[in-house]
Amino acid sequence: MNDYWDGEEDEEEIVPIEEQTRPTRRARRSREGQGNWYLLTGLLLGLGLGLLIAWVISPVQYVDTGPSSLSAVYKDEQRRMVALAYNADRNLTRARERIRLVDGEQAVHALASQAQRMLAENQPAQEARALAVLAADLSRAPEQNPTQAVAAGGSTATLAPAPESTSLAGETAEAEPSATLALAAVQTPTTPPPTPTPTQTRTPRPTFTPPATATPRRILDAPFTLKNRREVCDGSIPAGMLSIEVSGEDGNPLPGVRILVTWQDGTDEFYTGLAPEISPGFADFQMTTGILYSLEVGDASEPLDGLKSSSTCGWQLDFTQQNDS
Amino acid sequence: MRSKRILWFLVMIGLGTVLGLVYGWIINPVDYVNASPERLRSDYKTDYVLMVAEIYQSDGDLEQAARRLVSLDDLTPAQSVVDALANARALEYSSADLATMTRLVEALQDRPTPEADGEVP
Repeated sequence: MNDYWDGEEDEEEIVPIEEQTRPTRRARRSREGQGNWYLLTGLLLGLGLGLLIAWVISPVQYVDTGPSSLSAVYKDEQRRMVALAYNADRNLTRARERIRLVDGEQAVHALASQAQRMLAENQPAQEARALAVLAADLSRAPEQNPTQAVAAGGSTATLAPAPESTSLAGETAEAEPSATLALAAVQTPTTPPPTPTPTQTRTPRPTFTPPATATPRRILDAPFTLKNRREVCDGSIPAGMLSIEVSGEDGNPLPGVRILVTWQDGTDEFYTGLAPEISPGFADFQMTTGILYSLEVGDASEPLDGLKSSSTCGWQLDFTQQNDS
Repeated sequence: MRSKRILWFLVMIGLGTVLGLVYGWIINPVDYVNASPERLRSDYKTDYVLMVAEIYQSDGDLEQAARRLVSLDDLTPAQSVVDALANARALEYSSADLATMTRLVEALQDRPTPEADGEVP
């Protein structure tokens, strides 16, 4: 151990070369080889200690995060809140901005999936329906541009520099990328409140203010009609399977549309959009042989009766929304 | 000479610690993706309270509204709405939204607490 701290700089007794024994010369060469390794050792030890503190003992804890950084449970709750609020105020522009903060461009799929999950877990059907309705309306209604939003309802969306994220560990860090407020109508810079602790300032982020706009009639209020019904026996649809495709007035697939299947001893309720890899407007249902089924799409449609399972064929059912304007 | 080396060794440990902290806190901090609502920025909290108020205005379920507000922070539901209302005014929310939130805070302040009813929480 002592040799570790004794380098070539140490003073040594000068011994004539001819008097040096072989072991003495070897020990000296060994010490010269050590060089300044102790410096590197210290640096590495310090780095390890620093990372241990920064990542384990006292990691950065964001206190000004956005909805996208919430855990899955709270994201579900946030989506539920957005959908229920939309159910209450019918403000689609506002709901779109809110849900974007949670799921970005995947909002429609996330809403439809959560609606399905809630039904499967026997959670309140009314809340699942609110999620599905919002998914459907978001996928159908075109986005308004800022001028439309202002004209419609006098939006007061504000972009203001927000205080920077402050970590509990005394460091400053950006909690998430800047929130996008595509519909911001007014940009009013305001001064962030003074912060008592010295913090590092980064790019200001917009402050979220929900836009207030008039919203058109809900998409799912219009009825759906059966456009195409055919029996498929080539194996592309499993025997006894109902393959349902729902599209809007414009022909685009419509997710989040409620499908209600009833039979003598029961009912099943589900929504389109659970399999977006097939189609956002797709849903399916497996029938049992010997039972007659009735199927209803949306809330204002006539039920389709007399559906019966076959041992060799499946059914393809295409529904489209009626243009009642 | 040995003490000088020990000193440099300690200096390098200190330097390494600083570098490690800079890297771990600033350059590559822990990716925080499982936040709870209480970590939300104040404007997002305010909008959350507005959503609660909108839903309450629609369904009139005050207890449900109070439960939803509990997850937001350590304050009482009424105090959470009061704080959010102040923030909403600062952010220039519309008068309709401010009125919606005001109705909620009034309802929460009038709400009998479990202690007042003699209930055990």
